[in-house]
Amino acid sequence: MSKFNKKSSIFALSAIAMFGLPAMAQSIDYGSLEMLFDEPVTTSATGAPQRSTDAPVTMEIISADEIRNSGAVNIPTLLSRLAGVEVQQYGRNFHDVAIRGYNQNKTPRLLVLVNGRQVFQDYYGFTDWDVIPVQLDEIRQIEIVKGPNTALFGFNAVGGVVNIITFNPLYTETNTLRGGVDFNDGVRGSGVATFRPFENTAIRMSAGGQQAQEFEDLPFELRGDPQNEQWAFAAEAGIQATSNTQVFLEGTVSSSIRMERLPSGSNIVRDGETTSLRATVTHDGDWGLINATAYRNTQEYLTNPFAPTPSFDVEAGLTVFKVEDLFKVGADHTFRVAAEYRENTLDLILFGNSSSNEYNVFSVGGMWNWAISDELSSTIAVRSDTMNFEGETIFSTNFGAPEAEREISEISYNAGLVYTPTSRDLFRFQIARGIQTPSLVQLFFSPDVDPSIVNNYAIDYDRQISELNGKMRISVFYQDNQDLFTVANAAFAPGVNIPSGENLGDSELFGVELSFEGRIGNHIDWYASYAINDTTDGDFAQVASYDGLRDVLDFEESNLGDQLKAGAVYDDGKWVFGAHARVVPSRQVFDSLDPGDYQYQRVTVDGYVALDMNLSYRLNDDVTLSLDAFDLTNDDDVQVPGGDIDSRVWASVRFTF
Amino acid sequence: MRKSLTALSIIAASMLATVPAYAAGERDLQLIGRALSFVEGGATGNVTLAIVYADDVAGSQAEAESISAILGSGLSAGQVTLQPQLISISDVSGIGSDAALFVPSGMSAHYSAISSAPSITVSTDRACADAGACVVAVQSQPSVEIYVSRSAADARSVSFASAFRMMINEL
Repeated sequence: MSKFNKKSSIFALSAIAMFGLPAMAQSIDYGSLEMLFDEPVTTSATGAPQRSTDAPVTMEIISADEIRNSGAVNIPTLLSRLAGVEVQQYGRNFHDVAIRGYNQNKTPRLLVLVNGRQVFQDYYGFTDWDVIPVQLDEIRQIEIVKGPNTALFGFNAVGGVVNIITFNPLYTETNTLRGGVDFNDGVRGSGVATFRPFENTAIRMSAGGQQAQEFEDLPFELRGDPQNEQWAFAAEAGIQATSNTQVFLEGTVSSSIRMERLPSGSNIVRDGETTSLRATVTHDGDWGLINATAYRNTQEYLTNPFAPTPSFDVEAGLTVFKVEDLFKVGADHTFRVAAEYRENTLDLILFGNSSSNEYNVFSVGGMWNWAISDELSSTIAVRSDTMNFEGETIFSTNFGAPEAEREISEISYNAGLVYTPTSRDLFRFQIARGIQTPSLVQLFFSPDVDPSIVNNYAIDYDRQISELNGKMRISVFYQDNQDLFTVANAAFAPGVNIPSGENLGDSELFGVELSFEGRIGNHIDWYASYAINDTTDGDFAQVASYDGLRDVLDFEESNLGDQLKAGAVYDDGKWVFGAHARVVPSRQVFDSLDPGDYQYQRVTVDGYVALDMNLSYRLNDDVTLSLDAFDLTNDDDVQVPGGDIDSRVWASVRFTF
Repeated sequence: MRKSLTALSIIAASMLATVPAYAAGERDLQLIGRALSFVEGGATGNVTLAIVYADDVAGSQAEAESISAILGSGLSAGQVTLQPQLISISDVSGIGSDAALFVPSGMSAHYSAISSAPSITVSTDRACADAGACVVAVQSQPSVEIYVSRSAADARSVSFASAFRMMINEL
């Protein structure tokens, strides 16, 4: 099936034996803890279970109920409604999601995980939302951390983290079937089923997919059919090995065909396939809550032979071994110690030339949470990462240079103080240092590139407002981004270029986010937010071109300025009606406008107002009919240079059994 | 005037002694049931919630009966269904270790006897946990708080799941 050398996937399955853990453990039962504390519970802030309001980071949680009533058919749509989250769509199923600015094609700043397993693709430094092997009906909650959290999750959690938590088959049985058609020849379907083959074993399986035509206004004529296709399959088995030991085994595979846009501005059409295998053991005993995980992800992207685009084929692998221990000392101190080893490999075929490179990362880290008093708690997390890169570069593949070797060591940290002077008021003070590592593709083009550093300082004030039956949050933050990089094309002749991924300079971001949410009567939930970003770039280096130096970064102009978002959902048990609007301002980006991708020019992307609406009717406890519409007011508007997006309307039916 | 103040003081003291500081409601009892679900090796299914009263604490029997009425024929919460049973303070040492003993507020004079109970002790009165007589005290308003007395838990060899311990207030 593949023309590349494959690494064995046995790594993941042999993990349990390698770690040699004692046979005892309990995973976090999100549902029971949420019922107990009457609010969502998360582990994405410190690694320890916490109420969302106690977390020492700025965090949003989208619950399963909110997902069900949202009308959304994908995760980026859900995220686009949150304050400070920016989603840009290019093509039918290609989204870039950024938190607090610095969005770009294939943005590398947002780390995305499913139950802690990274689906962010290190080889290029982006998240392919289209191939994440999760169906919406199996998601318990989506946890969104704003700002760096490298000290917990490692490299690339610099803009933020999205951790998608699925239902644990041992605790929750999920059985749904969903199908839909859209009014532009799209068709989609998904199913989730849970069963117990043995008393101590539960298995959840899910599958889903869709076919659709691309948007009408394409940058080039697509000749493939279907133009856009995606499917995914996942299975997870949970085994209660002893009263306090659980074992989880998971496998996924997903695939897509679609049009995408690279940071350099190139448009390509690729067939992608991802796989993953994971094994996890959790044990709750005298030494605390021990979790050992091993997983292997693979990604294969091949240039679609029907598309008039240059070849850019990759096969990448990520193998991770991770062990951590969460324990409490005395009444007030919770600690987390963790060690992780990861190996990333890349086989690349670019314009017909093959090359390989890889890096491994060894990490150790720890977290200390101290409940100083009933009103005050502090958290400090520190992590050390050492990365060793070796392999071929564009210079060794094409110009006879020796292979490259690099070692990069970085320390990251998160510190937070949570102060609750009254039962209504909460202050959250945060300082963090996040690390964004170059991708393997970037190191292939620019082996000397250094990591970007993000220093973040933030204060939140949360206040419960009984008159609104809800709450208010104001977040003020300052980000100092050092040694930013991107992939751009350096042209040495008209139409002939070499991609470059060098460090180009620094940028500062000051921001304020004000958000409200509340409930009217028994049936209407609403939210509104206003976000302000003020970006100041340093002196960015320029990329050399045959006809002079060219700018390729300009976050002062490309970061979105003020954004207004608001929405409401009515739910009376039978009918659900939702409306969600976001006002996105105009911005300017650098884009390559010519077929050779060498002539970068400033392009204005007009502002727009996007409106999504959804209506559903529950026929009975098991059947729901829905009509979901997206981007109703910005049909044919541009979100990313190179193509317009179209309004979409889906008619769906959902069964639960 | 002085007599009036004295009278007012006596009335106030009397009210404090006889009126429970906080009467448990269904929400509190659900919290207790869910908290009991996190006891390691704890019971599941039907669990007897023995509600203690003392003749010398005015109103305590009435409150115990009120709580019993809320539980009715059984209140399901978490992995347990709480079944009510009224018990006099003089009988607490005789209850089964697989039951849970609910201590209404205002029972501070009997913490010593309550501490001798072999079963896990629960309350909506934090003072009971502060004194080490109750293993668990819960509060449902304005936000959910759960207090666990480590000394009371250790005395009964009661332990909780690690995740639960990280989210509650240990005293």
